[in-house]
Formats: sequence, C-alpha cells, structure tokens
Amino acid sequence: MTTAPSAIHKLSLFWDALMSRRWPLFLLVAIGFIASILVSRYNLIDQYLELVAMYVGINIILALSLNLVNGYMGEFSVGHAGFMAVGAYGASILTVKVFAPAAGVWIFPLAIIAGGVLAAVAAVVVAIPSFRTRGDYLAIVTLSFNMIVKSVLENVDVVGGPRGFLGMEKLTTLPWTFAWTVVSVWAIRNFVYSNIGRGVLSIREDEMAGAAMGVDTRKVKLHAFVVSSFFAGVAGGLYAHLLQFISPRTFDILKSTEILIMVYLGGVGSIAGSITGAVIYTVLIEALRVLGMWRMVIMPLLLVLLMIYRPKGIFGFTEFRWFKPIAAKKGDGAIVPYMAASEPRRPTPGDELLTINGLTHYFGGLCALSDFNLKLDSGQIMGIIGPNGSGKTTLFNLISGYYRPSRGNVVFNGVEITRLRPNEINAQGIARTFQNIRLFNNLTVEDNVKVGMFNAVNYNAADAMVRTRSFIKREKYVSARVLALLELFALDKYAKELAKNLPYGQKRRLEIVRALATRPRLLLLDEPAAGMNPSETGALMELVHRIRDEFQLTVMVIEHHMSFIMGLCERITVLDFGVAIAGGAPEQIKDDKKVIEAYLGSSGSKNYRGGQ
Amino acid sequence: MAYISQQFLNMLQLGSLYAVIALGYTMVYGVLSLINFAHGDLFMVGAFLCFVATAKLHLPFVPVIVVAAFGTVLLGVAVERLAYRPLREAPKVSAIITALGVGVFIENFTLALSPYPRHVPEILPNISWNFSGLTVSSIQVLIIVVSVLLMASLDFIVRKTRFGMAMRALACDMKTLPLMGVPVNTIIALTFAIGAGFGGVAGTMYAMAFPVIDPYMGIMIGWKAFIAAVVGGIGNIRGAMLGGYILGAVETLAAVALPSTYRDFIAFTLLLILLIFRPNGILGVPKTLKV
Amino acid sequence: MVRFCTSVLIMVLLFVALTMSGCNQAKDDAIHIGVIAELTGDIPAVGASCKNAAEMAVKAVNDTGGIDIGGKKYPLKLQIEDSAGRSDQAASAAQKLITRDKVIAIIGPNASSGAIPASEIAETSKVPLISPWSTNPKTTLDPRTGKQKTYVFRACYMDSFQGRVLAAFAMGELKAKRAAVLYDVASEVLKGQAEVFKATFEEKGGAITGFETYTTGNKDFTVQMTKIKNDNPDLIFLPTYYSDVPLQVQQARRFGMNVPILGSDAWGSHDLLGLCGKDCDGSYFSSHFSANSTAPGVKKFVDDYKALYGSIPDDVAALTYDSFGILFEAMRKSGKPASEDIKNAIQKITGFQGVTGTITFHEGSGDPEKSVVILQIKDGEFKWFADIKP
Repeated sequence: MTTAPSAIHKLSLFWDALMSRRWPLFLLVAIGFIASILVSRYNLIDQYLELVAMYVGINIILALSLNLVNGYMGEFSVGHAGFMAVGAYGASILTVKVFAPAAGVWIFPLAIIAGGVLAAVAAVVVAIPSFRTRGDYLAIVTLSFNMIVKSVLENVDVVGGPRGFLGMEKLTTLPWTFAWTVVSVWAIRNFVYSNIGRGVLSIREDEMAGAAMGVDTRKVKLHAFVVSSFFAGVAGGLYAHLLQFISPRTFDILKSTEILIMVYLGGVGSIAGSITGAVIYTVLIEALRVLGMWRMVIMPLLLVLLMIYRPKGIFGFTEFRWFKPIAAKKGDGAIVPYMAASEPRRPTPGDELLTINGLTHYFGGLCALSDFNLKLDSGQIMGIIGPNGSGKTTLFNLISGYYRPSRGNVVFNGVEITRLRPNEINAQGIARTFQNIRLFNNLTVEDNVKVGMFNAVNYNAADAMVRTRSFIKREKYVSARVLALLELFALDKYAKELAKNLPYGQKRRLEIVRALATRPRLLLLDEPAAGMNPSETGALMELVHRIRDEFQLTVMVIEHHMSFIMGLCERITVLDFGVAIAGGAPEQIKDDKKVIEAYLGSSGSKNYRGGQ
Repeated sequence: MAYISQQFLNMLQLGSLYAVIALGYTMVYGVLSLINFAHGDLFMVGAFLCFVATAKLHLPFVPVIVVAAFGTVLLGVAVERLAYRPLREAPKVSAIITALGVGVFIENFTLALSPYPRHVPEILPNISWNFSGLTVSSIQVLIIVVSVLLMASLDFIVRKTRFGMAMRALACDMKTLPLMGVPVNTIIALTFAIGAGFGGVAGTMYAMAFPVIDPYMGIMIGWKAFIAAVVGGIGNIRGAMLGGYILGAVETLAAVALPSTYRDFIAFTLLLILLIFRPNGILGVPKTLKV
Repeated sequence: MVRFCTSVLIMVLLFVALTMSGCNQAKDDAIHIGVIAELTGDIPAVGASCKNAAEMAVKAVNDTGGIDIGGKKYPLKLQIEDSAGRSDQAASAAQKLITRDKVIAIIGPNASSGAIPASEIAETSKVPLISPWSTNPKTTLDPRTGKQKTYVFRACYMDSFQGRVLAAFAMGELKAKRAAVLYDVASEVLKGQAEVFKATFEEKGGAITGFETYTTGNKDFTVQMTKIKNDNPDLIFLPTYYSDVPLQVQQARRFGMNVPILGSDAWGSHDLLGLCGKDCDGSYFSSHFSANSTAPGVKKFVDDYKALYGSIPDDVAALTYDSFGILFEAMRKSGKPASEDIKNAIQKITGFQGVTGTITFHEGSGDPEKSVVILQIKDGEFKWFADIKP
C-alpha cells in the first residue's frame, strides 16, 4: 500500500513529460495508421469493431466540423446533416455515374475532396445570411437549409429520389477513414490556431469588438462555414462509400441532432472534446444494444444528466496539450523589441488627420448628434466631454463605423470613411476602446492582442491549414510582436491568463494594448479612467502621453474625470444634447459659461473647477 | 370561389394550430432566451393524454381538455424544475441541448410504452355544414375559435396583469428583477406552465382533428411551430401568432399553386428569403447595438 | 491530469464494453438466428410486429425440441437487434449479428433504407438475409453488376408489381377512368407504388387527375384533398401508411367525396379498422395476406398470434412469420447448419405454403413468385376479395 502512491506519482510524472512533447503524438498517429492498414488487411479485429471504428472516425470529422461553427464561432447551426448530404451525393455521383465503378478506387480521394468542395460551395448559402443574423435566427437558416437539401434530393430522380442512391463500391476502408480523420483534426486544429481562427474566436466572444480590431467578420464567417462544410462533406462522402447506400432520409434533422449531441457531449470549443464526444456517443449507441428498445430512452437521459452536472460538456473550452500550439518563447529567433517608431505610414505631426463635416445622427426621432464639425491635427490629444447622454459615445460609434450617420461625413487622412464597415475603418488606422470594457473574455491576454494583429497577417486560410512556411514565419512574427507589446505595457506575465481573470485596471490597459496592436494612427478612448482611483488615473494619464509620443498617435478621449481631461488634452470639445457647445484649449473651456451651465444647470456654482 | 374559401379555411385551421404551439416556444424564449425543444413533445403528450382520457377513461370533452392541459402543465413544470433550472447560470447552449435531450427522452419513453399508433375516439360529434360547395366542419370551427380565444386571453394576461408585467420585465432583465421583489422562479414556472398548457390543449385539438397519434408526431410540427415563432420574431407573443398563420398560409399556398412535392422546399426557401431581408423576424425588434 | 486519466479510463471502459457486448454467449449447439427490426425510430409499429412474429416462430420450433437438420435436433436462439430505422444502425446491427453473434441467417430489416445496407454486408459475409417487407427492387439487386445478390431474399412481392396489379384492378374491377393519387413523398416504397400506378393507369388509357404528395409526419391533408376534390376523380388511390389512411379518408369523406378508395399494402394493419371506423368501409387495398382466410395454416397463425399478443397479426407479422417459415424449410432441407447450404436450399424452395400465400423462389433470384391479395373493408372487417397471380 505504501509504495502505491509513489508509483502513481512516477507514472503521472512520466505522463506529464510525455504529454508536453509533440513527438508521442506523431508516433501515435503513425502507429495508428500502420495498425489500421494491418488490421484491415489481415482482419486482426473482427469486422463489427472495424465498422464501429469507421463510424467513430466519420463522426469525429462531423463533430469537429460542427464544433468549428458552434463551438469556436459561437453560432448555433442545427442543420449540419445538409452539408453532409451534399458531400455524400456529390462524391457518390462522381464514383458511380461519372467514372466507371472500377475506376472508383483510384479517384476515391478526389471524389471525397470534390464532395467536400461541393458542400463548401453550398455553405455560402448559409454563410451569407449569417452576415446579418445570428443566434436563433441563424439556427433557423441552417435548419431550413437541411430541409431544403432533403426536399430537393427527394425530388431528383437521377439520384434515386426518396428511394436512395446506391451503386457505390465499398471504398471507405479503415486506413482511409483513419487518414481522413487525422487530416481533418490536423487541418481544423491548424485553422483554429491561425489568424483567421482567432477571428472566429473573436466573433464568438464579441463580434463588435472583433470588428473594431479590424477583423473582417464577413470574411471570417464565410471561411468558417466553408471549412466546416468542407469537412462535413468529406464525412458524407466517406459515409456513402461505407454504407454503399444513401437516401434523403439518412440526412434528416435527426442526423443533425445526432451531430449536435456529439459536439455538446464532448464539449464545445475543444478538439479533444469533439473527438471524445464522437467516440463516446458512437460506442455507447452500439454498446447499449443489449437494452433493446430502452437504449434510445437511456441515451438522451444520460445526455441530460451530463449537461446538468457538467454544462460545458466533458472538455468544454479546454484542450489537450497535444493540440495546443507550441508557445512562443523569449529568445525565439524573430523576437525583436517593439519599435513603435519604426512603423510605416506615419503622417508628419501637424497634418490634418480627421475632418468631420456636419455629422448628424438620429435614434428614431431623437437627435443624438447634431451638425458636428471637427478638424483634428495629427499628434494632438483631444478630449470630448459633456454630461451623460450628450452624444459622446455616439460620436465615437459614428467615427468607428458602428452607426451610419443620418447626415454628414467623416474624412480620415484624406479618405472618406463615412460608409465603411468598422473593420475597414480600423484598417484605415482608427482603433478604439469601449466604455464598458469589451475584451474577448475567454481568450488569453496574448490572444486578445493577437486578434488586434488580424490585418498584419499575409497568409490565407489554406496556408494555415497545411502550415506553409509563410504561415509559420508570420505566426512567429505575430507571437513575437505581441509578446514585445505586452512586455512594453508590463502585461507579459499575464500572457497565458484568460482576459476575464485580469484585475480591472489591467483590463483597461489590455484593451488599449489590443487597440495599439492594430497599428492605429488615431486612437479613440472611451472613458478609459472610469472606475479608477486618483493614483490610477494619474498613471493612466502618463501612459496615454507616453503612447502618443512613442507610437506617434493622435488621441481622442472621452472622460468625465475633469482633472484627467484637463491634464491630458491639448484641445477639448464639449457636447451637450448632441450639440457642440464649446471647443478650445482647456483653460478656455474651464471658464466657458455655457459649459458650466451644461454641467451644473444655469444657477451653477462658480466654484466648480473640475474635481481634484 | 368555394375552392379558394375552402383552402382559406384550411389555412386558418393549420395556422391556428401552429400559432398556439408557437406561443409555447416564444413565451419560454421570452423569459429565458431558451429554445425549449421539448415543447413539440409536450404537444405529443397532450395528444396521448387526450387518448388516455377518451379511450381508457371515457371522459367527455371538457374533462378531457382539463386532463390533457393539467397533465402537460405538470410535465412542463417538472421539466423546467429538473432539467432547465439547474442550468440557468450555465451557457445557454447547454440548456438548449438539454432541451433536445429531454425531447428525445419523452418521445422514446412514450414509444417504449406504446410502439403502435393510437386512435383517439370521437369526443364531440363531427358535424359538417355545407355552404354552396364550402364544407365547414365543427372541428375546424372549434380549433379556430379555441385558438383565437386562447391567444386573446394570453395577450390580455401578458399586457394587462401583474404576472404579465413581471413576465415582460423578466425578459428584459433577469438579474435585477429579484431586487424588485418579484419571485423569479415562480414567474418562470408559471410561464412554463402556460406554455405547456397551450401545447397540451393544442395536442388535444390536434388529436380530435387528426385522430391518429404516435410518439413522433411532435417532432415535425414542433420544428415548424418553432419556425413560425422565429418568423414572427421570437420572444414576441403577437409575433408568434402572426408567424403561425403566415407559415400555415405559405404551406397551404405552396401546395395549392405548385406541385405539392415541393411544398417543404418552397416553404423553407421562402422562409430563408424572409430571414435574409428581416433578420429578426417580422415583429422582432433588432437588438439595439450597445457599444 | 486527473481529468485526462479519467477520460482515458472512460475510453478503455467503452472499448471493453464494445468488445464484450455480444461475446458473453455460452458455447452450445444452439443455432443463432438474427433479427433486425425497427424497434425505435419512425416506424416502431413495424418493428414491434416483426419482433412478435419472430419470437412466436422461434418458440414454436423450440417447443418441439428444436429444428431437425440432417437427423439432429438443434435448438434455436434468437438475437433481436434494433435498427432505429436508420441505415447506419441497420448496417452495424447486421455486422454485429454476423461477426459477434455468429448467426446463421438474418431476418430483416423491413424498411428498404435499412435492408439495402444490411444486405450488402450479408452478401459480402455470405450469410443469408431475408427481408420480410422490403419491397424496393434494389434490395435484392447488386447495383454494380445489375445481377441479383445471391444471399439476399425477400418474403414479399415488389412494389412495381403491386402498382401494376392495382392499376389493372382499378380499371377492371372498379371501372375507374379518372384517378387521383395522394402519397407520402418521403417514403421510397409509397412513391414507387404511386409512380408505377400512374404509369400503368395512363398507359391503359385512364387519366390521373391529381398526383398529390405530403411528407411523413404531416397529418393535415385538407389542402391536398380540396385540390383533389376540385378535379372530380372517380377513384382515389392512397398508397399511404395505415396510420395516415384514416385521416385522409375522413378528410375526403368530410369534403363529400364518396368515390371508391384504393390502397396498397401499406394499409395492412388491423389497427386500420379501429382507426378508421366506418369511413373506410367499401375501400379496397392490396395485401400480403388475409387474416380471415380459412386455410388451416393461416388460422392457426392468427389464433396463436392473437393468444400471445392480443391483436390480429398485420402484414409485417405475417411476412416475418413466413420469412422464418422459408428459413426453417431451407434449414431442414440443407442437410447441415451452414449459411452456404441454407442459401442454396432457399433458392430451391418451390410451392412453400406460407400464411401469405404460395411462395416459390427461382434459381438466381431473391424475389419470390407469389400473388397479390386484394382485400375489401366491409362491416368493420378485412374481407378477401381476389387473388391476383403474377
């Protein structure tokens, strides 16, 4: 008894050492692949196990591909079987109708890919509505897609209508399934841990903040849907050539539900989760056969119990170390100190950077901002003050593209940006923070900042999925830059911490760092000192000054702390009921009658000179 | 003319049923932002209770409705208490998946007890009136009238009573409401009770109109009613009613004007197009951008 | 760490559960026969009848001490698997029965969507499979070669044959000129019947006034019925499942249509009488067997079934029972309890007197030669009306 704990201890140490390295994974995959070839050639396991193993592989691909949309992107797609159907029919038509069945063996991988591509094309139908709608409405869109696919297939007699389509050779073998499963896991994992994958995560966490950081949400959504459907199509092709029979009913809403269950059972936002979920579900369905009719009663009951006691699923939001990217370390080749001044595209101080002409915005009948004009020179720090509800944040939202102005325009650095989308405006060089901090709470501090570098990346999704050299090089660069940036703001020790766990002040600072990562020329700070005590406010003032100088920024800041505004800004504009009532240097504003009236009412005390 | 009015009547009947079921989805969604995927199965349970009450207990019409409604109310509240309440703080999707699980459980449990479809005996004599080619049956009239009454009373409850006010407030802000002294759990349970009761009554009426029932009858109609709720703008009571009638109309028109093979295809394509142009449903208010 | 170990443990347990399931059979000389039935899923009633008939058939043999093959009596062991009405589960059930339970033959699945993938597995594993109720022509065909599969049989006639017979019956006996059709588009079987009926009917000079559809799960047919009524047909053909039939007939009658109604074998459940009441009176439908036949075999079967399960057997029960009958007959003649010999013996079966009629197999075909029974609903009973030979 006394020796047992130490043996376990040794075992766990060994385990830890094994898991923290990458080679055992490759070894495992290689062994698995060779084993799958041997098994299917020499019938090492009985055919029932082999069949179930192939189901497991196909279900892993399905669960992973749905997890990409539901788990990583945070949408709720409920019609995944529709994409599977497109892939299954596409691949089967190729092997049966286009090519002679005999040639099928050779073109099988191509047919599977073609099926995946067809499904990916179909995904555009779902992706486009997702630009404008999400949540339950998108769920309905995907559900309808599923029903439409099924209905169309029932009406097309060439592929057998409701009678189903058959004639496929049994081309799906254990080695093929294994290889496709590994490829899918690898590609989706690479996708998730790439630039566009971080874009996907930012949509889940906070779509609007993501857009403000330059994430092209439309492009990202399209990519996510296309990649997800591609693999669903691949799974469909494998499925069709395993059962040698498909019918529209195979891909009904129940199949979609099955995939949903696997994903949420295993846990969303986790590759390990999807694998676990698919394995457990598939194996349990078979293993519980002894229960006969009650099997289908027990299965949902188990699911409900699991959800109640472990709402995130088995692995929710956590990951095997094996699947995580290798952390960038200090001293990694590309790490250079963050040289803000070496950034390109810096306008010379004194140029006119931002011009706002007659900007007006109505909410319904309420005029939130009326005929606002502004000229802002490069390098200035400008303050916007005004009582609550005076239109300050509305002004920011108009500049950064969240609202379309009712009238007027905004010109930034000679480019009219009035009608651009938030991410396009960000790409022009305007970054912002939010009044109520909007970090990506469930991402690490490091990843938060990496999202800010969305547009600093020049590889595409395909590069990411197969890890080309340009991908690896660029990722190293991004990691190095982010670490350097975090170091500069003394946040590097939190790099691996989830953003939601940071103390309040650090959160504010992280939001600024994230905005800086987008390489802005104009930084909009919305109440950065809210909730801070005087000493923190002082530190923040210093920080803003410092980043203005080091990053050669122009800054607009909304604040209520008068001392902060007065100490920081070179110019101040005062808003009241959407109208600019005063503007000029801090000293002028301090004594402006209209300002005092706006803040304190007409009989206001003259003693008011801003809080200390 | 008789043909058109006949189809119009069919449309009203189908739409009424969709509307009443859609209300159950939308009410629960309104207070909890939870898609109660088990709702279609509560509807099915309502129909089975109707069967038990008529075929086994030989009860007359009113007690049958009471038994079905009461039974589904109990089941609905129990499901809320046992499966959804523990998950109120959990990610919303966990609750939705739980709802899916509960639905499948109810279906297959019923199935294990009764694999064969059941026939519900006639409770009320079925009379048909003929108006120059237009045939109106008493059941059609009953369904439409009862549905409209139910909807009107619900609309009244939600808009004019203290409970309705609490319900609407709950939809806005669940965190603050207890601070105002409103018993949130009671309100939620009541909402589930009303939603489930509506499902039960709809199940009974359905079983009277289409007297062959089986454990899977709730799946398809549940999804469709859910779609109706979304079309109208989920969370919006009047939207659900409107959505129900719209879905009924679209399905009927698709079958009238085109080969009925394409009925589902047309109905869902129209729905997709609608959602592209009105992403929040017809009466749904776009969520205000809070920046 | 802890979590990881737990999950590894769970995986191992799952694997063990999977490996063990079905392995706990004792070594005995019992012959294992597999049944794949749709116990759950969208047609649970079919599965339930199939299971009932299977248990009854096997019990009857075991009560006599087992089946006599080559002078030795072997007890039978029945292994029933659920396909949940899904293709993939039907395939895994078939594979499990063959590899794990070492069954000598498989009866089922009934739905063609399950029977086709299961038959592929049976064919490659060289285990005879008899589907009681799969009427899809493709079940017994190898789609790649266009030839018949050698190990796959069915106990029923095909729906193409049935559709032709019904169209001829409608024009001949019922003197119909204008027929309307309403069918379930999501069901392969029913769509096939509807299409063959339409083609034959039009070929013979009749007119199809309406060809309406719905999808499984719909219960409201008022729209279609209104359309059908508008075209004034003199016959309505309803190839629809018996659970839908009462609704359709009632709705047709409610709209004042009193034309004859013709159904297909999907009507064949005695529940229909209870479900439909007097509305269906006078309707005709094709069936696989007639429960009030006075033939001694049929009467015994019906009585035994009633005694055991308290209801009159439906088509699926009868066909399952006959599938077992064919299997037992072949086993007795095979000389040794081996799949190969049983297959050969099934192919040679001629004139087998089953409860669903006389069944003959021809060498090289898994489709039996048997006649269609036309039944009429009269006074709350299924009455035998005609036998139509191929």
